[in-house]
Amino acid sequence: MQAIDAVRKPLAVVSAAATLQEAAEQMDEKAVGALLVVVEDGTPVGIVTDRDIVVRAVAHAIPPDARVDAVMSRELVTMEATADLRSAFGIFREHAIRRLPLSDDGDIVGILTVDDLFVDLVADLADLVRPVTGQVIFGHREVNRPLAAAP
Amino acid sequence: MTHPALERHVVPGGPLAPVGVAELGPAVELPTTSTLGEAAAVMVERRVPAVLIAAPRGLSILAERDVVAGVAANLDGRTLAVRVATPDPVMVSEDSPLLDAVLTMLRRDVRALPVCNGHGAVVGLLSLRQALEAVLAGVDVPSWLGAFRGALRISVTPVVRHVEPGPGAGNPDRSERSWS
Repeated sequence: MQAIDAVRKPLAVVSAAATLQEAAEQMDEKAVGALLVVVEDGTPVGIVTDRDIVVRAVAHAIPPDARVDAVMSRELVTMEATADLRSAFGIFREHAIRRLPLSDDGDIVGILTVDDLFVDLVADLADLVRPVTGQVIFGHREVNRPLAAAP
Repeated sequence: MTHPALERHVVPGGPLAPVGVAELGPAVELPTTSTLGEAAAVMVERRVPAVLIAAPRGLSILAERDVVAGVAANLDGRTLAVRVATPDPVMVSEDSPLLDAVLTMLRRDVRALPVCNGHGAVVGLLSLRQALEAVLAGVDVPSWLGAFRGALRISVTPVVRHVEPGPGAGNPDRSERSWS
């Protein structure tokens, strides 16, 4: 499976000059936990997460009108979108990150999260342990997935 | 007495390992007078993804997502946390199967669930990662699952502990740990 195929949520982007309120509004509206932060020409310069807003902003009395780049993480580790999903494991481990931007021909096209891997894993476990539950929860993912053979 | 919220939202039990065997984090409860800033500081200090607020009408939960929603509404850290907290949170019984708890979190898109005992008392908070640790600790993992454990920096040593069944069986010696 290619890494991009495991991404469950659309890429959301915010300007480095945007306020925390604007970033939070995007996260809230799009139900995502991370935004790619870009400068004027579209170059990505960091990533900001819901945890960053809690830990680096609200907990330290930084107001909602502060700039996003004041709390974003500047380390931007990326991986090719078409790389095998399993390649992501090592990158998550090596860099101690939970979100991994995926690039295609130099452009960021999605953010793979540890939760994305988890969903696939749990779908597999649900297959193995309780197929009915798995189909109810992951019905759209189960259509083309053969039922696990009985142990 | 069972908390009113439990009567509506407790995940039913099942045949798999119960939530009670997982290592839970503390269920930190704050007063209704707590501000968003205070609550966020507690989340950082206690390393929890959510805190509980004992409001007069019942329990509420303030997760990171709720704090973000508050900032999105242009509320600052002096705002009362209960204003953006989610009332009547979904809870999970410590007797419920771990897989049910995990599926509940994924289905509802939440990263933590309060855990209650048979008497309806909240005994801890189960994060997605803690649930994953406990689920994987009981699985005969193929190699790629081993890699997945590594990706999450999950200890190879199982964290699942045996819990004697019975009323009030819980996790009295849970230690605090990072949930990030």
